[in-house]
Amino acid sequence: MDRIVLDNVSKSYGPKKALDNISLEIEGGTFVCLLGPPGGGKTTLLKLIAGLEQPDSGKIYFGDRDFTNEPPNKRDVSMVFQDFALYPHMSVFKNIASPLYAKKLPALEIERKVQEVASFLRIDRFLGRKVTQLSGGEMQRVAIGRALAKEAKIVLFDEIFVNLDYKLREQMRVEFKNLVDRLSITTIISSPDPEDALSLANKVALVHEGAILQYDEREKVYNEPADVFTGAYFGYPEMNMIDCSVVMKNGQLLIDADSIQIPVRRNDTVAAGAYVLGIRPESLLIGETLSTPIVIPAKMIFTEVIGSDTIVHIAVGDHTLEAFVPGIHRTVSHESIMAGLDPKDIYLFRKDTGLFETRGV
Amino acid sequence: MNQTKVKRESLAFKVGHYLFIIVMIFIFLLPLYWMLTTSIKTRTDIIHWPPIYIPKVIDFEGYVRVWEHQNIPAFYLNTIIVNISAALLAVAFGIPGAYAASRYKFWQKDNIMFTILSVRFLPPATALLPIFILFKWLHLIDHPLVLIIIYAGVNLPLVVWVLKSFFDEIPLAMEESYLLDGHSRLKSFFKIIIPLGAPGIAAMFMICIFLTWGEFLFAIVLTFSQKAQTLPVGTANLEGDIGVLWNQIAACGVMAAIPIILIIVFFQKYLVRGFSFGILK
Amino acid sequence: MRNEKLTGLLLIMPAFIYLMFFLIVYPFGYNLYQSLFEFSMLTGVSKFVFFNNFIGLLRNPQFLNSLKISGIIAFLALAIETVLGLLIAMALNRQFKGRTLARILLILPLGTIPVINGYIFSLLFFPEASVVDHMLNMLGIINGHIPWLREPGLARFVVVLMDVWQWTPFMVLILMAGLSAIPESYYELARLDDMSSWKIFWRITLPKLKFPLTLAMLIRSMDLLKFFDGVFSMTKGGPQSATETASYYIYRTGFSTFNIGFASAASVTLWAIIWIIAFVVIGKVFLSKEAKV
Repeated sequence: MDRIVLDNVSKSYGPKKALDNISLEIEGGTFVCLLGPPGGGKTTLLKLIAGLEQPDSGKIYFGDRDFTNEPPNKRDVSMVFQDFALYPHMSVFKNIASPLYAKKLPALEIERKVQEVASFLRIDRFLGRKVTQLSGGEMQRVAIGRALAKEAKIVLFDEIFVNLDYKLREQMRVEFKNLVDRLSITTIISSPDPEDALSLANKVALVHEGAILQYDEREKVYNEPADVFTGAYFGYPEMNMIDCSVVMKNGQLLIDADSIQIPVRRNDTVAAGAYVLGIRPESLLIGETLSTPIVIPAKMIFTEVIGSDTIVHIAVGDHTLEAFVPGIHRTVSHESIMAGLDPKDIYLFRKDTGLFETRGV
Repeated sequence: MNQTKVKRESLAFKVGHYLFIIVMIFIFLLPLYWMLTTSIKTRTDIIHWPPIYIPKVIDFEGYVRVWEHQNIPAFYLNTIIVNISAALLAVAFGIPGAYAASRYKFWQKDNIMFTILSVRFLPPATALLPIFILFKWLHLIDHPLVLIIIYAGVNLPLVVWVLKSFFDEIPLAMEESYLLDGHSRLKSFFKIIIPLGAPGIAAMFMICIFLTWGEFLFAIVLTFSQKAQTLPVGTANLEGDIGVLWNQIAACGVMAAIPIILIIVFFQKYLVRGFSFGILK
Repeated sequence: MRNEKLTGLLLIMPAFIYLMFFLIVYPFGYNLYQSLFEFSMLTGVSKFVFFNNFIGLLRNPQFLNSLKISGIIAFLALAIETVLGLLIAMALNRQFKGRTLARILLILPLGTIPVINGYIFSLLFFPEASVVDHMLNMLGIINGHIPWLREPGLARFVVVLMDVWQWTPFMVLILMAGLSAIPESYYELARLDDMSSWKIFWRITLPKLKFPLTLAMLIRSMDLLKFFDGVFSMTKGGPQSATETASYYIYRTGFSTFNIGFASAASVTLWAIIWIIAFVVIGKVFLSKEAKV
């Protein structure tokens, strides 16, 4: 399967630079998630791959062929849009069959393929209906069906979970994973939600302000985020970030953040200096007595219940930290509590550049 | 206490409101009513003091005369042909222009769009002479084509601008999706834009007919026989040395008004929406 | 949006060229050209007189008069149409029985033919037999007859009335659309605050109507300056040129007296005036609205 190569691609819309000299190589068959906050350039990137927009500079290759100036109807790419973009004046059947009509397939074969896709997505009973009569989730499946019917080797999904409500989103994610696993295509989804990346993708690209901050295996981005922004963004809730300095005290390296003092085991881990300490909320344990290597006394501020889990806000000296605790808990504020941490879950970023330094002390 | 005060105010207001509407309807329908009755009055009843509001004697001489002796059928036909053709022409030229304006960025776009709009600033009287000379040279004077070309031109700016805003309402993502399905741009135009824009296009078509139906100045200068003259001109001809043939004129008026009134009555919702929507944008 | 600059240009070219040629470049060019000459019917020869025609025009009382008349009629008609249009639009904006019927009936005048209206209005205001006189008599407002079409001021008033009758519905349509765009919540809030109706109108309704109102007034004023049809059929320029609008003057000069150079000069001048007004107003409106094409 062909790989997708973007080579030094830039795209501006008027004064706004949507993509600034980005380069990306996606191997065929990968499931990539373009992750990032809105307006970062994710949709632009997808549009460039689809051919709906042309780059101002740079080249786009599929395999070794230069597709930079090819129109969308000549590319082997499918796309599912955020608002589905179904054709309201056509039936569900006609919508899904659209790419097949373009390929000028015989009617019988079109009939067969549409049936196949529709039953795969469990919307075959809607085939005769007008798309406007369907619910949001059903419409989305028609949109996906249309994209799949093309049997393109590259399928793009632009923030498709955004328009769904919370429950539906969870459900769709599961179905989506099953779907993609069964097809051997290159899949690229864009999403502002780290959960999507965490649960679905092989590789994650952090897209922010027109640049790709990091493109790596999912685990690598999680364990070795490129910088503070990536570290914070790729996780929910966001990573706790605390300014600190690493100093030499009594012959041993110490992470000094006033009320938080963490010894560094090996003196060659980092050089002394100003850093940002990162702790993922899910690594922070809360309890009366803890058996973790590092225990920090803290005070409870309040608890926030999200779905069926809780985010516990605690105060450690001047710092406010969030801890992610599964299950629903409610506690009294200003209660003294202990926060526990394992040194291998500590991230350090250089203060001056924001770049990742190391994980685990 | 407050409750009853509000209620009473409301009642007086409501009554006043209804009264206002009724008076307005009365005023606005009066000339139409007068036109209708004049067309069926006897000649002596038309100019009469005190005025005859409800004719006791009905005389269809106006209609009879007009249909048989005055070439009015020819004029009527011309009006219909010219206006429909002009509307078709305007829409035919206007659709690609509106599509371009809606979907493309091109060189000098703003200036071109403004220039198209500026045609509306043209006082017909100022273009009279040059147009006359031009079409005389083309040997097209007194040919229906003349008016068709001119009327289409007069309506083009509106068609382009209004259809542009209609096309703007069709989501770009839909066309993009269609392209990605593998269809060409041309196909997307015919299979997506046209079907979805059809209501707007139809409304514009009717509005074009509406707007040039009663056009007079160009018609009277550029045509002079039943070959091409339209109803408004034909009606003006009824004012001659013999005197003003009021009942015939009124008859013409009624006949000319009927198609338009039918369009208004049946399509008023679409017309109102298309008209105001397009103009507002 | 696809950036194929060429395709877009090609698509709009037919419309653009069509218009540019027939209705802009050619007529304007021709008029400008002819206005520099003096054509004599006797000798059939055109003599180049440079700007004499324009100078003569500016001194010509009839031309200046026609401009004045056009201005007066435009101003009066516009004022009445706007106020009346606003009142009717607001009246139709509420829900009441027979609303659709009222709307249809009030829009009907828009579909009439201006020329024919001129004749009908001649009847309605016919000296000594005017329906309007009769009704005014019945209402006790006047006694006897008013020399409507024989008195310059009154004749102008009738012309204005005719335009108001036909075109107020246009205003009504646009203003209704504008009114319907104002969300009900605004009014509810005002009522909760116990605002008087007058205040509601002034502070809420009017500002929101600024755009449609300006647009409608612009379109109408440009159309009013071109006023011709009604004058032709009803007054032929009116009692002693009292209703001779600019367009009628040009028509008369060009086609009756065949003073082509003069008519062309007048055409150029009228066109320029309308253009400048439109340019200024559109510039202001679009600059403040930042409406990008």
